[in-house]
Amino acid sequence: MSESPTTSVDATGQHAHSKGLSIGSIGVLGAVVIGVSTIAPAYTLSGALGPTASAVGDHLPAVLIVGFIPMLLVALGYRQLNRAMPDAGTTFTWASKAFGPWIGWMGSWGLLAATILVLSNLAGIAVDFFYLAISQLTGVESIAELTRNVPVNVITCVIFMAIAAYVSYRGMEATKTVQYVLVSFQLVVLLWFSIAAFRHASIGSAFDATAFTWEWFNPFGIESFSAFAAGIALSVFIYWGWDVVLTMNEESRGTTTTPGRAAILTILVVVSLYTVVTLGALSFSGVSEGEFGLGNPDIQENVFAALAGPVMGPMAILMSLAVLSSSAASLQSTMISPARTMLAMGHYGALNRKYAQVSPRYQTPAYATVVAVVIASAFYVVMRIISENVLWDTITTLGMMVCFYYGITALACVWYFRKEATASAGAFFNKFLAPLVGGILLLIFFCQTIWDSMDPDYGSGSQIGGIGLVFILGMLVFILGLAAMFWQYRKRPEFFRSRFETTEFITD
Amino acid sequence: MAEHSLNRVAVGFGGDERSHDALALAIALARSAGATLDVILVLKEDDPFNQAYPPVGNVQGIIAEQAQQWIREAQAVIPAEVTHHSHVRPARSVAEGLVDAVKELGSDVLVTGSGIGFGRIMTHPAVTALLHSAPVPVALAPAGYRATTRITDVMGAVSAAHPQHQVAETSEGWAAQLGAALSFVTFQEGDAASAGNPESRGTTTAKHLVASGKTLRHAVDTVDWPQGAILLIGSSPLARRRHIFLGMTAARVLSHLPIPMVLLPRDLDSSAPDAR
Repeated sequence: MSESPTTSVDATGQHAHSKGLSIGSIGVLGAVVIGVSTIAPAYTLSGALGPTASAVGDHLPAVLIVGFIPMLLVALGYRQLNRAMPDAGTTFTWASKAFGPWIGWMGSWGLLAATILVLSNLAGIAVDFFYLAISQLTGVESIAELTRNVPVNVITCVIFMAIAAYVSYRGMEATKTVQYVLVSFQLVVLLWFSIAAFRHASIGSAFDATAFTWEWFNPFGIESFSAFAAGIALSVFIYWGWDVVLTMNEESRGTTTTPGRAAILTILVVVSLYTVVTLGALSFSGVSEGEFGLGNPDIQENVFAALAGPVMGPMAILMSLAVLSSSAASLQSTMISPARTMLAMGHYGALNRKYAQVSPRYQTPAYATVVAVVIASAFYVVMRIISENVLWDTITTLGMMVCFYYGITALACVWYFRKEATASAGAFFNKFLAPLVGGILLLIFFCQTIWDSMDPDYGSGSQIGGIGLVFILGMLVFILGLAAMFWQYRKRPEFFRSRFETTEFITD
Repeated sequence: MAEHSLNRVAVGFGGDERSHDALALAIALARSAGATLDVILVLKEDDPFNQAYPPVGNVQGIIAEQAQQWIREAQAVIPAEVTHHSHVRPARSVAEGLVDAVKELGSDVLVTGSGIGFGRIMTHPAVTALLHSAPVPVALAPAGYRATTRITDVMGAVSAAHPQHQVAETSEGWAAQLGAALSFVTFQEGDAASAGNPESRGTTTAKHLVASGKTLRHAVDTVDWPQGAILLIGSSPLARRRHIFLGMTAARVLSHLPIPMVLLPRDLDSSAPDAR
């Protein structure tokens, strides 16, 4: 009764090209929902609007619109690379392939640092809104103040992260319906907020009614290049994630226009939403340093927590719920990110093999998830203790890190496709010009931000020994990265010595 | 009688401890029945509505590679005399993938690890989903189950009030094919549990036990379950035709049963006259 055992692999094999469901079966609307849910607008705006306003003042709408351009240019290159090398490592794989393992490693470190930073920031915002929501529901105002109590804040935050890690380890997922509901809820509440703000401004009940002027849209009116660079770095963070609609599987059913349409529609929805919300906030609050002014350092790290009450009145609870649900949903999807990056690095031997461990029970990167949550928690705890403006400082550092790894990725695209780029006008634009310009711009903003952040007054004004905390954070990330890289080089030199290989596809 | 025969045994395997429990039971079943064994590993696909933030690469390839390693571990355990095939298939959920696979392969029974037994409750969502939707009998290996090389006893759980012909018939068929002893069990709960003689079942001379106790748990404990036995039990009336659905009694028996339980789909062939 013996017959040679056979194994049929119905899966698409290793380093598969397929990403499961194609965008064609999701439809344009579904793709837009995915794109919007990935950038988590309620959370992102709450966390980043203040720091951006602090950098560029009332030119907020201008910087949000201009900031989208380098992001878009880089995303075009990102999409080309994703077609040619659809690999788990993304930046890590592509930069290693184009520039060798050292730059690949550091690029990936930038991505990893950014995901850890956003994880801790997200959890921090969730904590603020958690206590705010309870206080609004119960009518006990002192509860909202609990978030300023460092031990309470830290413990709550660590609990949130632990829950997110557990959910992520179990591989539990928010379903389609949940995402539709969350996204619609966020859109409705954000629009509500904007309309209410405009109304206050027009009937004169706004905190600092500021008349609309087209000057708000003039990026050249920003006082200095430093302020401009800081604003752009932040807006890059604000848009971080929408490009997922570009890289989702493009094998659409019957039509090849769906992904393109979905991407354009997502861009329109996101950019107009952000513009409307910033216009609303500006009209209501102005950029003064008064109580509810966008220039007030006390409210900048979490503007909706401060503004929702005066703008929306008793309905402010909706804003709390929107940000809370948006950050809760994002916490889980954000947990996936660093874990998968570490999984890919472990898989290629750029980190200890332990990071490549997959839980047989849930098919999730178990070890990497635990490491990610431990680092993010430790980071948050230390930062919360040394800085009062932890959220603000992490957002600024985050913008810097995103500029860094996106810049590297874009240049990797230029270099990787250097021989094919002259094949056609389209190829020239998508594989060469767009990523080149986008990448160089982002790296310029990155360098400018690093340079400026040495100033102790930069960003939130947190400092250690006369040097800006954001600069120290950024440098610490890079020094740790270099140290970790050399440590890996000593422990696992094979990765750094051998030519990096991955499956490559010919694209047109 | 085609409906009763075991020609293809499928086992859902994932490389964890519970999967090895399941594999042990599947091997024993396939070997005793002379059936083909299909090892099915479901690779969980990402839900497009649940993207990572910020976007990162697709790790399916790495997990697929790991899955090959788990499959090799499974193959190393299967004795040479058992014909077997391995299938790695992507699906949106483990339960979905297993159900599709058994339909496609024409499996006669699906074996899975339960993590249940000895008072433990089930934990894996896939098992819960299967127990309420699978289109074929589902065999659950208790936690820590290791082969006994063959199935020695087939026990059918029949109720005193409504002797379920379906369970009785399937048990007879399986016992004959597996070369195992046949017996029946009736669970009775409460103080008034009568130890009366249950009616004898057709022409068979199978032993019929009455397990009674204050609670179902006590009732289960009174039985001296043979090491190599399996217990066949019917679905709840809530089940869709030809699908299984774990009933209340079955669920409570299951959580204390030290031997594998096989949950049968409803109305396998109750309308058809017995050809045996």
